[in-house]
Amino acid sequence: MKGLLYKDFYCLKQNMKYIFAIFLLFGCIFIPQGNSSIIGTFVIIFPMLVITTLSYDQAGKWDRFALTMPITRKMLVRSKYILFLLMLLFGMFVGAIFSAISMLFVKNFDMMEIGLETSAVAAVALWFGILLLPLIYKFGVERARLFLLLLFALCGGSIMALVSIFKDTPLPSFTPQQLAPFIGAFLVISVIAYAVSYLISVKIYQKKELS
Amino acid sequence: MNAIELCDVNKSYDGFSLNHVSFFVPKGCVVGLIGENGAGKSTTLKAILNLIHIDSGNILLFGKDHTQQEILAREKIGTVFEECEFPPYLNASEVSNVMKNIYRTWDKTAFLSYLKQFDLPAKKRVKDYSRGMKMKLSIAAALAHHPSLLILDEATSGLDPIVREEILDILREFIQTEENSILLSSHITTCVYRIAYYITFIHDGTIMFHHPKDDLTDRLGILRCSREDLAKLTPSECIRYRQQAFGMEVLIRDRADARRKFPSAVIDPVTIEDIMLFFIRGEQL
Repeated sequence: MKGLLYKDFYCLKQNMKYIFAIFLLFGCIFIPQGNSSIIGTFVIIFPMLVITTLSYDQAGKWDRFALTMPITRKMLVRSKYILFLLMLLFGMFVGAIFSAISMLFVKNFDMMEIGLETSAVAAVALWFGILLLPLIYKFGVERARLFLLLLFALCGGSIMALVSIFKDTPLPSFTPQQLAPFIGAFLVISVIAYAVSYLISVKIYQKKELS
Repeated sequence: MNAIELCDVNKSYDGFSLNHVSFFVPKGCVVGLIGENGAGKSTTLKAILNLIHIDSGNILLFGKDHTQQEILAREKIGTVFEECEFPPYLNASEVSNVMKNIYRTWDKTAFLSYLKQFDLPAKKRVKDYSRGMKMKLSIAAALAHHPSLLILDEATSGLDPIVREEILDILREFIQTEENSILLSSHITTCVYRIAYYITFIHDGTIMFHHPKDDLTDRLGILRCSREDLAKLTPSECIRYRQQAFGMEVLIRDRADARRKFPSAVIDPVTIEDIMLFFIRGEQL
């Protein structure tokens, strides 16, 4: 199965340089302002690259080829779920570097806040995987992309709705210490849901015909 | 023992089905699976490799059910599928790194020597390869883990005669080892004819025959005769017949028999392609 991950890394390697170029540009703009939202972007964007590898696989009928090798359907699915997690961790790592650099510019940087923010975004990113990967295995990358758009629209829409509903009520403010247990719990639930999502994807893919 | 054995395999799709497909690939043998486009060749190979799930029947790989011990069996199989290639962004040396981590028996030295033999540049990306080069890369990869069974789907179609010959040579070398077997499908019958020991002909999802090649080409013949002569043949002598502009063409089971029966008639030997055409276009008595 390591071979499958190797293959995907080679796939991402060629896209990586463009992504890094964009992030460097972003970093140059945002870091000096002490804007930490760039970290969240990394944590979301990197795992999304798994979809790129899946669309390459689909276009080249890689799965069909791979299954003629000593590779089971389960291993194919598992490699993508592992890749997603690795990319998530990688995104957090790159984010951490960016925040370290930010600290040089902004003196009152709250590590606790950054940590919590990153964990919350990581949990949200996990949910993209939780929902999207089974959809991709069921409907294929192209149609699943539409779901992704829908998901983004739904997230954006509900945030807008919440904002408009609560715009007159003063929001209670929490300290990071108060928020931590909630974010922690959310993260734990997300990880469990991720495992369940993997099992569902395996089930879907076992039944699939690769003609 | 047989490397592959299919027993009464059925699989139905909308508008197409495999019907009671049974044949085998003996160890040390080359079996050519022939048939028109859409006859069910690829579907059969996909069923063998468990890429599609069969409705009923049995498929044995090395004597074991093909869904059992899949990983173990796969280590011993090399496959080349049409339109089934390495990802465009890889180069050959990256392919080797990927495969090294997939096959326990991957032999990098062998792979590199195949690359050299096939004139494939190790640093060029697959997307910049020509069709023939991609096919040769797939064959190199299929051989580099030292399989004992090759399953090739249209591996020689769309290649120029020189490359095709090169590939046939490699296959002949592979089959020198007695343990090794090959199942290859193709609609290019000349290619199959030159290498196969057994010919399996599939038409419309049904196996029409599965015979040693020499039996077919040594014994069958084409009898050119009149309609009256055709009436003198029994159904067991005449496999198929076709009405032509100047009389009848009959695919007969035994050339020597027919010569005794019609001493003055023209009786020609057959090619695999003739047999295929008779089965598809001809009629039975």
